[in-house]
Amino acid sequence: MATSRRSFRPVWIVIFCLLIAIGAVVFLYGILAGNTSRTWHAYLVNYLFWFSLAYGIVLYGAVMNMTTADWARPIKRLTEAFGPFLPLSLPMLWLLYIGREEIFIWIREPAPEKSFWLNMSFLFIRNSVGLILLSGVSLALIYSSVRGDSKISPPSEDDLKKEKIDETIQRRQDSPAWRAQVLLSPLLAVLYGVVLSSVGIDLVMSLDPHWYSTLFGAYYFLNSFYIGLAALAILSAVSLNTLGLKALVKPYYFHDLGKILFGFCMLSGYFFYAQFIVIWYGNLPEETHYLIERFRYSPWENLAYVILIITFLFPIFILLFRRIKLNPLLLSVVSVIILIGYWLERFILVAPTYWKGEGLPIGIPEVGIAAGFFGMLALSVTLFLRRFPILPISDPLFLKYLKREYDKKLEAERKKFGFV
Amino acid sequence: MAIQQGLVGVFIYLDDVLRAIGKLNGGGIPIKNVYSPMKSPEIIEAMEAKPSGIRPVSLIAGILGGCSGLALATYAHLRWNLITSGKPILPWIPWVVIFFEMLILISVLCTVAALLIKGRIPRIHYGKGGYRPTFSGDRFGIEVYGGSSELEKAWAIMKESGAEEIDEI
Amino acid sequence: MEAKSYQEVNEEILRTLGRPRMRFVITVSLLALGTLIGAACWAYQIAHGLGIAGYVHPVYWIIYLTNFVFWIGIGHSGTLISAVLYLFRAKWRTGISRSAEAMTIFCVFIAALFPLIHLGRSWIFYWLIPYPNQRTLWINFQSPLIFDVFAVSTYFTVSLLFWYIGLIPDLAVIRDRAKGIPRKIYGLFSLGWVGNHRQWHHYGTAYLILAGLATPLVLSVHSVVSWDFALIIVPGYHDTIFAPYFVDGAIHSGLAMVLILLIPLRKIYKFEKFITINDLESMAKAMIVTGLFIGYCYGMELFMAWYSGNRFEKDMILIRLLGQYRISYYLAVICNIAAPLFLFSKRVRTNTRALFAIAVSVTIGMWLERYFIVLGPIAQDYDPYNWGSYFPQPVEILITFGSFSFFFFLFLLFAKFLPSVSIAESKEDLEPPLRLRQKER
Repeated sequence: MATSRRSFRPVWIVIFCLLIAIGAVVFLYGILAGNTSRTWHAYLVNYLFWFSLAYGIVLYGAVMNMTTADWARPIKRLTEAFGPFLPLSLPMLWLLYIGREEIFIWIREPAPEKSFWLNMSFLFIRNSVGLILLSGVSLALIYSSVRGDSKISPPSEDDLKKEKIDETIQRRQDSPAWRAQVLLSPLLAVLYGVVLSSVGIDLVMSLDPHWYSTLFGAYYFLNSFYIGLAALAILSAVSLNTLGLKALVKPYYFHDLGKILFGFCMLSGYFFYAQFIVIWYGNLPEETHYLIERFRYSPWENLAYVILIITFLFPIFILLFRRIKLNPLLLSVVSVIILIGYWLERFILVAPTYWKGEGLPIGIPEVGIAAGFFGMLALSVTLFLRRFPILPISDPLFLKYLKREYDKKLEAERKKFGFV
Repeated sequence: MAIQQGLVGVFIYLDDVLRAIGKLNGGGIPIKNVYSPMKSPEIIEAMEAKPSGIRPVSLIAGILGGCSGLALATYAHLRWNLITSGKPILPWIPWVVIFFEMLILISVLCTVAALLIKGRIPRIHYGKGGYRPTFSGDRFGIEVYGGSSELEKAWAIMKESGAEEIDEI
Repeated sequence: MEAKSYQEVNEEILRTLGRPRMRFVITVSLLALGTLIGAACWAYQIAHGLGIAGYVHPVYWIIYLTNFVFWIGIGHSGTLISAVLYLFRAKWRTGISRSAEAMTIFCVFIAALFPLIHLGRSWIFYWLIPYPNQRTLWINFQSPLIFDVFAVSTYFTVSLLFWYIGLIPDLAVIRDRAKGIPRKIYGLFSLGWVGNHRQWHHYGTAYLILAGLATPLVLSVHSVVSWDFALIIVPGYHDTIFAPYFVDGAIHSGLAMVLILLIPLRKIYKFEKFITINDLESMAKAMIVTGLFIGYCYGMELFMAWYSGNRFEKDMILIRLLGQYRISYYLAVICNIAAPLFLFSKRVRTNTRALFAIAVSVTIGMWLERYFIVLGPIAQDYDPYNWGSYFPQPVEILITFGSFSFFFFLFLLFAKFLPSVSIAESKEDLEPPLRLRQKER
């Protein structure tokens, strides 16, 4: 009853490898054909988007452990599936080193008062160390979660009867695997905040070295968490049939996920507004030029309004409706739109620093490299889910969830036959 | 035994209440009120209550409230044209805050008003009828009105379901 | 929740509404005295002007605004517990939500007094209200002070209504058990609630909607208060991080105040069944998160002041670290960030004395944080010729003391005259009485 043996078909692996190849080809062609500035910036935008998505969704697994939330337990493995993708953030960061002159304006025109912070070696060392720590802790968390599962067999209905189950849950809570997860989850959360702030400040805010905003780091890591949630919604919907989770993932799971998505949509909009109103109101030229470039100059002005609508106004409105939240397909469609919106948001943060021409630089380099990153991400998820058990059977909260669902089933049957 | 206007049955157990509701509804006897000491989703489901109409009230009141806040701000800024720190006369960016706060305020006021109206409170003569003080303690109650034959049937159903006591109103 | 039956729930919770004992009367009298002292100082200040409160050029925003931000901040935690946790269906909310929500109302009320005290000519506060008047003046809707008016009055109204709607069924319980004049009073305020299925149905929907509407207020109100400062272009005020920083600080100080109120309440009223040690532990865990984020914000301010390359920002930070208010800064760092780190240990989290001590330290730390944030930047801003020095005056200290007395006075009256744990929700948490279960036994 509590097992799931289906998985992604092998044809997907081929498709994802193809996407990676397309991305690599587009990237190399762009570099060699001389379109270096645009290609490197496309690479940067995609790097920022896809890795922050992956770190965000893995953080969500840690958050679920910390809040001892059992409603989302069946999909725990889905949040960990992005694990193999995370260590790739390091070599791909070092790849940026090759294109550093194109990306970082302060190499050619150094800002002397900031040169302690904004110099290549320090930037790469601190971000590498941060990403090593962050991906290391994430992998350790995922390892303790998966290791526990490969040693235990799934519980049967007899196990779920009252007396024995509390013992079993207690035993699982005392197991070293669970205790490791309880220890690593808050550590991951703290590292996530610090490292992603650093990445946001170094790779996005420094692109315009004379601009600064104290909220930028927090804004970046909050958005990353939000897009991680949107990705989780999509992956949960996909896994219902592909991974056979339909029996365990009840409709109220999507309702709750939709509510969390709504909450984080409001939070992200709030963080954006907090920066915007302070800068708008103060009207200080050293702060406002960044916003004016993105909200008043064409071609960015229209893109900015589009982003506002699809990342904030549209989800806030549409996620009010119960019917949308309960339907996995509709929720995934909304999530896809949110993800596109945030890709564009990363784009509008980065692009005006290099593109001074007409029209928006969204074309083959951007989309091709995005396809490549998506292929890598999807390949890591697919391979992970093919290799490891889908259900977190050693997780004590998963047992609590199963017990709760079992009790609910009994209650419903009793009501049918016992009450009336 | 002729019974006049109505009956109220006092129950200790929730499943007795649900059984009685089912049988009374099945027998076509209209139930006026079911009293309980706390919110019981089972009773509400058994009474087949329609979704509460408060939600659309809150939403519409909120949007109208937010817009009224903006309308007030617009009117005030047009009447008293004070240009402060070079900002436009009608700046929408800070007015997001005004819109938001008025949305919440008016929505809450209208939600509370809707609750009072739909719950038919405040009520001075709440005790007239089937209400017993134990209903706020640990007893449930079913209040039924009808003709004498219906009430005889209701009496029998409630007794059979396990009512602790049944009073005439 | 370890009570067994509905009758037990009623009796346990209503036990606190009995005849007050001598120590209660003495405590309330002392607190009333403290309040009167504060009120007398306010009257003295109105008679003699704000100068005796230490107001000196250019430091015009001092302890009254510190208190304003402090008290509003504390109130946010109450709404977080009663509204946000209701939406999350968190089990540990039931025992503490009523007290937390009451705490919010009293905090917001006291906070709203402080702008009046700070005005000096308190009677002209009505100039802030937008109504067509004989002066043909309208308020400036883009000023953060006006955002404050809207935000604080909305917050007070919403909190009061949310608390009151939650109280109605409980007041009906008391009405049905009281006699004489108390019965009439509780009957009046319970609005004739009978608890029929229709009422509960609409009540459930309305309560959920109110919780959903009160939740964004947790973020927005303290953000609006923070924008009172952030929208001013003085280094040390003008930071984009202020909004989440203040909101997080508010929740941090609010959780501490809830612990300060509930730990003694639980002990004195013997409410261990309703407010379990796990509830307190959950609050402690939340405090770790908020404390860490405050640490992040402190760090980010320091870093960004240097990174900005702005001469004035760097000087502001140096003054904060080495200047006349440096003691409050270091104390705040220790009390706000270092002290909650002890909560990482389960032994500390489940020890009520340690929790109380840490909560007191956080409260003091958060007050000091507001102090150096409000005072520091304006005391020494751009032009050294314009710098001023300020020292706390007796009037302000006594009014602050009076506000604390008033808060605890109101809370004790609440604990005596109203049920401090929600009766209806406690009953919802229990398994309903089923004949089936009786038979099984």
